[in-house]
Amino acid sequence: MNSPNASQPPDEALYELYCGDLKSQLKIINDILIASEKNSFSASDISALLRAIHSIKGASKVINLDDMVHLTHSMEDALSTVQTLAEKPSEEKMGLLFKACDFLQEVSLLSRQDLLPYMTRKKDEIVNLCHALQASPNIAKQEPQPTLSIPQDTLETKNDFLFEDHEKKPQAIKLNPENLNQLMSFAAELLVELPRLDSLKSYFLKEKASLIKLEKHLDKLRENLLKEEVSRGLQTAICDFGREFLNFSREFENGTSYYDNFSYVLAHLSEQLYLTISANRLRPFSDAVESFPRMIRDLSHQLGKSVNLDIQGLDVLVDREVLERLISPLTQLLKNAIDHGIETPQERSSVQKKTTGLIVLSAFHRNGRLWVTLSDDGRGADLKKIKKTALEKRLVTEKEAANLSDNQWLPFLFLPRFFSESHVSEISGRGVGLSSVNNSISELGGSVVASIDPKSGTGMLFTLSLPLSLSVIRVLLVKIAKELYALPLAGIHKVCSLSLNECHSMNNALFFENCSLIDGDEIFSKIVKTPQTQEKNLLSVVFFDQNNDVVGLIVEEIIEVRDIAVLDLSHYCGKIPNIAAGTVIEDMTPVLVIDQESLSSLMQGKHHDGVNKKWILVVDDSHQVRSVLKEQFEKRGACVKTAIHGRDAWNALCEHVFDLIVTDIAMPQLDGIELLTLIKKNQRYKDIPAIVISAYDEKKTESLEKGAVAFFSKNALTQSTFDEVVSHFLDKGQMDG
Amino acid sequence: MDNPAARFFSVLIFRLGTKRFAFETQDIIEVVSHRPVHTIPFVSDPLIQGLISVQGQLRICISLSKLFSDSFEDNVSASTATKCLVIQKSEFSFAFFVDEVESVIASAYVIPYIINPEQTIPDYFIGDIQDDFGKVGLLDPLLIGSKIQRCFL
Repeated sequence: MNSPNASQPPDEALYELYCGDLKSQLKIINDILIASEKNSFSASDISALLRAIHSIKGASKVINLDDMVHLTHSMEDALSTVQTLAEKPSEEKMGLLFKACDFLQEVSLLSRQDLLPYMTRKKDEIVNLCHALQASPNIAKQEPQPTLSIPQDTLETKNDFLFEDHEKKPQAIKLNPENLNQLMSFAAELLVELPRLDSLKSYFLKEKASLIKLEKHLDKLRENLLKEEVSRGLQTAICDFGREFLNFSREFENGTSYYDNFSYVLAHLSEQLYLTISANRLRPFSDAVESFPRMIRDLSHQLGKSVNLDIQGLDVLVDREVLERLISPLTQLLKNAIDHGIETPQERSSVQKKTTGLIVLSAFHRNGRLWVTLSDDGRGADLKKIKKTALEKRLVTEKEAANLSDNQWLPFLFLPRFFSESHVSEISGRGVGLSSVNNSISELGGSVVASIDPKSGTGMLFTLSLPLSLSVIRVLLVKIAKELYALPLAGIHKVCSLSLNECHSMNNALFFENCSLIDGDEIFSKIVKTPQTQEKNLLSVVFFDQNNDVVGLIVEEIIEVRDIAVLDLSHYCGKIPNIAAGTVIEDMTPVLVIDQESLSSLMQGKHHDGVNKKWILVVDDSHQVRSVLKEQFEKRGACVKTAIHGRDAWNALCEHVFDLIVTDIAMPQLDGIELLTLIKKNQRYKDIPAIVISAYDEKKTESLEKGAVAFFSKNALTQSTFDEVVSHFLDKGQMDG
Repeated sequence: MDNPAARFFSVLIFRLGTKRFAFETQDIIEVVSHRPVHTIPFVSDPLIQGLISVQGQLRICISLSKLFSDSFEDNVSASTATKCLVIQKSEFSFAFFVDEVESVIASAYVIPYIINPEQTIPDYFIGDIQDDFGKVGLLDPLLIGSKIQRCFL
């Protein structure tokens, strides 16, 4: 093997191996450092730490990263002192070790090209850290302990990341996640298409029955002919026909039995294929939470708090996509728990609590769903403040407030900017944290519920319920307004037939016991029925559970339970109200999957429409620019329509009334300047303010002359400038330019 | 070529009622048989017929005749439609039913549509093709796609 040159980036394959090894060794180092910080190091801890650091040192030598070799060497020295002096490292030394880990972490995330510039940039910092590690004192003296003996082979420099481990472990191959997703979606579709084989089987059975019937007719014909005097020729012809028919019948039977075996094997193989590919998509819960202990350690130090994090269910398997999208909401919940929930040691002692707080994060499977709970034994939510804010914001009336239990106040925390005036913390955000947690979990098809932790009696308990997989879900197929819809089975509370007499009506709405019922026809096809105009006396109702509310959806017909492969509709259709996704069944009929959460919100009257919103027309020939601007404006609560060039914008203006036009200049068919000219000449549109965002700075004067109220250069447009513009036109409601 | 702006395109010509239209063949990803359409709740624009399944994927199905509602009365009904054309260009994809797929011309002489900035009636054409049976409008998938996108807001 050629030794790489120190001034050249390392070989790509080698560097990939190095980063992979670095990450796994770092996990070991971080875990031991965090666990040992509170207690003392055991002999096996020191041994494992030195092994991991030594492994990184050896690997760094191979790819000529001298600074990394020095850094890891200094880490070894610092720990060797602990080993020989049998002392617990001082807080300062632990801080330095964690800092060294941060360097290693940063390196593990660098691309091959960025590696050498990073090392050059950080050289002085690394040298200083090496000196500090070697010179840092060991203050926290402990009872003398027997000297730990580390086997010599542990410290021998081995490039085991390159050789030994890879010989022992099964070889892993890199797989493009897109390809894996595609494979998963094909396997899911194959599984969902399987029922087609059953319909073919039913067809064969029907044909077989017809053949048996024909055979009987043939026998009868033969018997009758024997009674009659018929020519020998006709007799022979009938006998031949009978023989041929029997042969065909036998062959058909053989064929159907062959088909039966084949469909059985195919069904089995398809299921195995899906399960095997699904298993590849599954990752242990530990993958999502591996950075949490370190985060909790750093935050507790920063806030002067003492916290233990107990993670349960590390081996629970979760779909890769669900897991990845779970990290951010869990991080937010943990930050909230440590920042707002857990008290300082002094506060905890004053209320007779243990000085060290406890956060428990747990994952488990139940009823075909993934459940994640996060509880803390902190001070819990400030219910008085929630009540005061909810009343001030007129979210509840005094009368309603009087009837709410403590747990019923907690959902208010999930409202965006509920505590907008409260202090802004660097750790737990600007009052949008829980709202974004709620949004992220909802997007995953899950739900999050907050309650008072029953164990501690004061702290918070967040319960997250999520689908195990995003690709195939089990649904109840129903018919609404003569079309097929699917309701995810996981959210269904019960399905029943109700007589109209069992329901009661109030203000033209129908209720069963204390659950409100809504007619699917009314929601999905705008056929408005009052309880008095219900055509049928017997109603098929699907009750589903959403955030502790049970609501009933009246459907035309309940078809069956089946697995479906979920198809995303957002790419072409955006978000369709009350619809989560789509699917196709075997006869190519499209089916829409109902979004139970948004339907539930609609039924509770929380649905908002765009009536009072500002309408903005974004004109740009770049899909990317259109998407970014649309997203930015929508985040600020505006409704956005887009146009691909000036001519398309002119069409859009004919169709809708806009409050603001944001246009590019250089576009095909009709450019921005021509569009501005047209707009300002037209009596209907001339008062609509137009902003130009273009890369052609030289067009600024002309744009302003043609009537634009502002010109922004794409080359110099910053987020803050954009925010100012948006605030000016949206937040203040000034649409006069 | 008489018209300096004219260009040659490979096009597929189809019939809607009595009118004939064309799309560039490079924008047509599939011609499929008639199939069920699922309406899309809350989308009230008559242009959008619903969703159909093409190769296991759901695509938006439109009523092309509704694009020209002011000037074009013919309407392809489920009973007369024989084929469904699936179009994809850039980020836009849609399907629509036609009465007949007439022909594919490998090199059709297209006279680009002259943009008249004063025109206020929306239209969706790139240009005109002249064949033995008369003029055929060559449709622009981007303009139609953008119009569809707006229907979902």
